[in-house]
Amino acid sequence: MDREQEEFVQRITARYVEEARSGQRPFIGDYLARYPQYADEIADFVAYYHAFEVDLPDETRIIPVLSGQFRGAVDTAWERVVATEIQTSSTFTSLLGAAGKRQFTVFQLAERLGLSDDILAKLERRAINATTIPGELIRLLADVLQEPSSVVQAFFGISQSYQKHQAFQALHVAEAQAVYQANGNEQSFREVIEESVLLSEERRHAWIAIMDREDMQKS
Amino acid sequence: MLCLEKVAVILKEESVPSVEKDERDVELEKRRRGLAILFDALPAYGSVAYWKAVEACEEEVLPLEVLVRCVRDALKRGDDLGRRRIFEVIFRRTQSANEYWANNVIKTMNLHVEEQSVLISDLYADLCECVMRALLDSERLFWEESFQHCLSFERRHVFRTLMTREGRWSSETTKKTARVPRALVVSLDQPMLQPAGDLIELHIEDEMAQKALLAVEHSDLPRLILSLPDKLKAVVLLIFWEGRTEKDTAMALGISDRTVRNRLREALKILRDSHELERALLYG
Repeated sequence: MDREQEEFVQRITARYVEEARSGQRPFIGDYLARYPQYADEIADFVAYYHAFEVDLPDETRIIPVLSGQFRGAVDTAWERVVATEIQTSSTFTSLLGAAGKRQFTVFQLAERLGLSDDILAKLERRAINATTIPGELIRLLADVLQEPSSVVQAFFGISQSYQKHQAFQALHVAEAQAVYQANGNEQSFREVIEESVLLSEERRHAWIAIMDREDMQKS
Repeated sequence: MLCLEKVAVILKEESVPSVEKDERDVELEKRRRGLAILFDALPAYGSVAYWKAVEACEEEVLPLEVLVRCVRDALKRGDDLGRRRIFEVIFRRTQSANEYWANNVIKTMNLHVEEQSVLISDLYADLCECVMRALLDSERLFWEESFQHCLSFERRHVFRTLMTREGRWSSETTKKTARVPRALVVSLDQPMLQPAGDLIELHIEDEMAQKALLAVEHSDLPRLILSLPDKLKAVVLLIFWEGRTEKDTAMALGISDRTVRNRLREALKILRDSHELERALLYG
């Protein structure tokens, strides 16, 4: 059963559950007759619903704290999800290389990002303090390069999952970043924007406004 | 911030849509729009006010469907910590139901206390993982409309996986069950207790198995049905759960009376075999 079919079965059974919860005693036979192509799935869900779901407590208004046992389970689940995300994410070690794959020249990439060539060069070298890069730029890069935000973040070394991953594997990306950090070449994104001689005033103001807005949201 | 009640008032004041639409569809559409209004009314992402709204409790609590959209928004923004924080809220809010469910599932497996505790943790971790993956998949739109029902589906999926993994079912489309829950074995040993007025016309050869199945507590029947192969479930459900005749069942499923009888016989044979297997395991 593909995803579309599964969602269809969910909608059908949601109606059954709604009727059952409102005390209408729905007839399962009517549902099976109406949707014979999904009869097995519906029958299975209905049996499961009456076996395990019908008596579940409703959500309470007071939100409990996760118990120790369940906290551990949530953490385990999160680690598994993050681990697969890292495995399945494609990574890149060069912004310009990734842009090249999308047939963008340096100039075109800078234009799409609303930046100038000199700033792009610093981003490429990871000479900008990653923690100062605005979320808006990450989103723009993800959009232009058609990569998940986590991959772009991984390039700059600002993703939490990426940092976790670093503990296990020495990635080429991480090594490159360490070199730049060791050279003490890092500037904040704000400094880079303010100092750029190639960036138009209009764009400079736009980026400063974005950074101010994001700083405000963080505080 | 808007709460669901306020949104309901706004939507109630709007004009009534065309009569061609099914009443339920109209309600659904209203609900969808209500949820969208709530999401759009949230303060700027990541602000203090935003987190206050997401983590609010009691009267100001956001519908879980809105939190699904918040998770997806966090994902789009590449905010790992943010989505983790929203997951936390979701799991706290669903904890009591999930905990009750996990305990119930494990209880049916007749395990030692220590084993139960370990398995509950595993089961809950599996459930959380499935829910996280589903919420991060923006194509699974029904989560944004009916969170609790999607959660039920996810729990069912995890339950099936557990039963298969633990060898209770030989595979997801198993032909044969390994064993029947102990509670049911006890029921099967009891004399037939047919509820008054439940006159079910059966023409099957395996009369003993049929009687045994009728002796099972009505509320235990769905659990027993779950252990059957998919194609047999509907027949047993209609005849023993809903009390339909073979003829009715055949009509509802669009199959012949003979097929109904064959499927019923097959189901009863499986249940009988598994009952005997269980007895052998229990008493040697």
